Amino acid sequence: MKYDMKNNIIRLSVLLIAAASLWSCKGDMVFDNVQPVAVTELQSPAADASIALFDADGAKTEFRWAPAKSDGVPVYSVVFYVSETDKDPVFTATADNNGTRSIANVLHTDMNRMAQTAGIKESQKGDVWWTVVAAYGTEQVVASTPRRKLTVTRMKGFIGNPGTLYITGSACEVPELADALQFRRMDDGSYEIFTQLKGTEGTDKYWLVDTPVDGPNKRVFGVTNGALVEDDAPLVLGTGESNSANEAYRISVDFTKGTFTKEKVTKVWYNYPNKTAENSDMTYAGKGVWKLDNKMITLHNLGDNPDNRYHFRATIGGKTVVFGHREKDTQEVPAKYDNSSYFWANEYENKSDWDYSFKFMPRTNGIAVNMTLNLSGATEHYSHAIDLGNLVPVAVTALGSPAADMSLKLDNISGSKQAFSWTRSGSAAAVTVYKVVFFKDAAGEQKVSEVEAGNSDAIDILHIDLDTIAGNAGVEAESEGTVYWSVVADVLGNAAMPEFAPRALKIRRFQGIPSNIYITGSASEYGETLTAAGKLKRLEHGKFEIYTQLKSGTYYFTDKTDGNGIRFAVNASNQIVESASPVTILGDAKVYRIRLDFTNNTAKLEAISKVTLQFSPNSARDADLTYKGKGVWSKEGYYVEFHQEGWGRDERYRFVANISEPSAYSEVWSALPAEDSRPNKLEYYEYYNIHVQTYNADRYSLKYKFMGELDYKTADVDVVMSPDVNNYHHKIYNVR
Amino acid sequence: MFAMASCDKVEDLYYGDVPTTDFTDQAADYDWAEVGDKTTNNFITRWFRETNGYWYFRTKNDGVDDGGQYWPGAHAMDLVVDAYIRTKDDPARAELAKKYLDMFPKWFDGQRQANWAGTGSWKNPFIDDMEWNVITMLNLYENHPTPEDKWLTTARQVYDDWIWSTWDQFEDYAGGGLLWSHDTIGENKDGPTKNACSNGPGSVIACKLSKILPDADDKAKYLGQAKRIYDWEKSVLYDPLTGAVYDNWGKGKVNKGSTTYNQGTFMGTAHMLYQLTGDKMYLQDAVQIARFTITRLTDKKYNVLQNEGYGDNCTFKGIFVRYFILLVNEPDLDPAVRAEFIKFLKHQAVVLWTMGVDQKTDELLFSADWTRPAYGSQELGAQFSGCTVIEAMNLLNY
Repeated sequence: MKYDMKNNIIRLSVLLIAAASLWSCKGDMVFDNVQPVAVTELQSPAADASIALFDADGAKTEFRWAPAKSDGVPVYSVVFYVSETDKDPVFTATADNNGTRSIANVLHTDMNRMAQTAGIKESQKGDVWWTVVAAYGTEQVVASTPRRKLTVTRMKGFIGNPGTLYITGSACEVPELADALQFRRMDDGSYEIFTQLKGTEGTDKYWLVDTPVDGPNKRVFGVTNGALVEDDAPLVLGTGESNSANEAYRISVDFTKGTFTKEKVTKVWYNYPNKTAENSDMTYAGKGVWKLDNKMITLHNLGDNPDNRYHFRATIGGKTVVFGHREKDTQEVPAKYDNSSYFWANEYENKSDWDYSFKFMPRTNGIAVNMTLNLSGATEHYSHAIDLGNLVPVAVTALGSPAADMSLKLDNISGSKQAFSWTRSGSAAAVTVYKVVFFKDAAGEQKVSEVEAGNSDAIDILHIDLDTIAGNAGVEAESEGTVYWSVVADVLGNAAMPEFAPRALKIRRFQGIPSNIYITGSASEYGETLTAAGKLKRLEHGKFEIYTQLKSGTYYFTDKTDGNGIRFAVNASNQIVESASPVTILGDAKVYRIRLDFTNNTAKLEAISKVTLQFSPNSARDADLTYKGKGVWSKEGYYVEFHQEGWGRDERYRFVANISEPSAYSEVWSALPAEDSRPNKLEYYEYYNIHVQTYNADRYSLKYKFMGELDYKTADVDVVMSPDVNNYHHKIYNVR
Repeated sequence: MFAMASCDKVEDLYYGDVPTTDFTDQAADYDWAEVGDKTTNNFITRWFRETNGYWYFRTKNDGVDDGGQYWPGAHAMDLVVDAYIRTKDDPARAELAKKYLDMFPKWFDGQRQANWAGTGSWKNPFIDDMEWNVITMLNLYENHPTPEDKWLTTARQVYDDWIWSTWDQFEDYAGGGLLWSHDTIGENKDGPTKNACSNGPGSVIACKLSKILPDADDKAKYLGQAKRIYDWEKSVLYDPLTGAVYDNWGKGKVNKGSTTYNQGTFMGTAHMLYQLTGDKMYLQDAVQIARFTITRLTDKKYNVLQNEGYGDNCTFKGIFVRYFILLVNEPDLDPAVRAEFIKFLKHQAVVLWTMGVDQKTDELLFSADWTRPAYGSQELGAQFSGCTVIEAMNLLNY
């Protein structure tokens, strides 16, 4: 057979080239003198076999037969019938590889449809018969063996979700078909709608349709004996089923399971944590929307701060559910009340008062708002809205100081500041907040910074901040340039810019404080070559930092690497001094963190004796890192093995730095305290940033988590505290 | 001419990259029973230890990482059963055979102590972990000359109550299949997943119960379950065109990726279903699954089963070999196919024994890479996997 095949292939390939077609093996080929030969042996499934159809993506059953012994390459199909003798097939499946294989993997979704055509109901068992047809061009030959019986158990549920689903009928809120209310398609493929049913019990009806347009393609669904059926079997409003004014139903339909469930929504309310007196019931406004108007928001202190959390609750089918934020404990406070995704409402089973809360802007305290909870199927997401009603900002009518085009020379004296002031159209309620806004351009389009002034008509801004603002606006260090400013009035995110144009302010930036600082000398790991000097990381105006090694020798700092710079040294009392003489270091090399503050000419040198990777759940897996130079520590070949706990596998870790001089203490180098997620990739992103934090002996409180795929892997780990990177971070690489 | 290649594959269905290096002759140079004495005894001495009167296999041989291993310990015991089968009829090894046999009840009583989810109980949130233990209990029951009833009743109870029950409980996910783990279910978790590693062994258990239990109704019931699991795995987690077994169904989709142990258990249950039903389809499936493994999941340079890593993964190859040797010994196997499989098995054994272990050391440690020896502290899974190959050479009937 193999050799026959090869001969065939040679012949076929000639034909193929002649036909200039790359797709061989297909039924549309030309066959020369090929005699039709029938398949003589069906192999599997065995005769009288039973199979269950599985509702899983890609599930299939393999049909197999012995290839027909012929010269040609037939195109095979598996053909299904409702009986052993019936002439018309209910379904035909082409064999694998465009019919060229003597195997057909038939998808269960196709077989489910086939079984339905053969009259087998959902979840039920029934018989079909199958055989194999070999086609040679237009000639077809049926297998010479008898058809095989196959018992098929259908999947649960309907074939094919309708896509969209509407409710209609005289018992509905909107009885007209054209305006029928739409169900929401849920993530799991089921449907739900919040709506009222009302009318005369025993008379008015409702049913489900897949389109609000009448026509031959409209599918209609009803319920018979509690199960969903596809036929015109409308439901009649039963005794006690009609909703009272403030009630509604949640109707859930699952086509895959064939279920229809109706639960009464008896109550929907605004829920403030732990203070039931603040809770207020909402009223049903129709079409899946609940409202609460003119609700006075009172935020009660929890500790020293007002608790600004809230969510919504409902009693559905006798059970309490929560409609809340997508995160269990969001730290986000919205900047305004709008229709952004922050306000989307997700449903949860009964939770604590605080879980899945939204947050008010704290200034909402004492304000009356209108709330809406929208559970309509017509919108893309369930959501809620906070409407401030007639609350509008009290506008700014004029700017006061500094005068237009004023020149301001910033000076280095700590605490130096400039007063900004403005006039308002009237007295502003505490809820209005004013912000001094700085722009790069006169038209006020390129905002660079803003400074909140609270509910006031003046604020002092520090020169040090103005230096940064000027820098952000493109004014070169140590030179003069113009920025533009104005004042915005903001009520809970509802902000108004004055009608008039921003005002110009000429700022001469700080003098005499270096913009760059370098370390050089024989004691430095950057060596004595000035052009190769190590540039310190600039933290803010006049403040610099570097993690570097100092060894026996001399070093100094300078602000330029061309030899024309000023040289600085640190004296015995940790003062920065301009000095031609470098600092001398004796003794063993140590790694230091050097911090220089030119705004008060102080320096701090701290020796770092050790950096350790702590594996939170098991100190036996802690590993010390080796200093590699220029601010980088490394551990080569760290074996990661998560710690098995009753609840799963613990993958937490962090870094700890031991400082030995001037006094001994430890720091944690980790993610921020709120971080509790796993990273989603090994490549650098902000997750891997190192935040230097006060030491906490609890090995779990400040930490990172390893990526799941690192379990049982070995990897190299670097801690990068180099002045060259934007963010100190660590990296895990060379995983093996 | 790529279109031609697809035609050619019609005939080439089962013939992938056939092993090229032939160590068949060299295999005859070794007395595998003697080698088995060394490797298996060494393994038992270093890993099977007693604590508070209970005997179980430890994570490592170093006495430091001394915890029990709830599911790898089951596979380690399967190896001991292999060694018992090898020695039981050899008068020169009567003492060894007794030593292995004495371990049967010790293992059954001690193994539960290694269950992190509840010391002393067999119940564990991971379905596959319970399955491996149930398989071993049935192995003990089948191979001990005077087995204890509780090995069978416990196996049946664990399977009925905690393994098979997950089919109905989670049938709405993927239309069926056995759950992998209760640990993936809950808030902020991935939800139920159906894995090859829980379904292959589940079907193996049902086959074994059908074979062992005397009552005709029980036989039919468990055979029905074995087929149902098999059909599901074949329908959802198997590529019949290549013989690849996929890892799992989760979050509505099939996650591909083939490993030797999933190949092994699916091949194993296909073979057992052939033995129970005589339906050739199952034997063809078993051969195809085996072929995929020995041609695709190998280290291409040395043609040995690939290094799948440490931890859980270093147990995988031993599991494949456990079921592979049963298939190689199948009398109905096509002789040409058997010859090809034997060649592969002998090749594994020779490479492992000549390159994969340092014979100068007492420990005789195998690594996850069968072409490189291990030294010092070693994981249980890597060691029993290597030992299983050696014992497989002893179990070879042809």
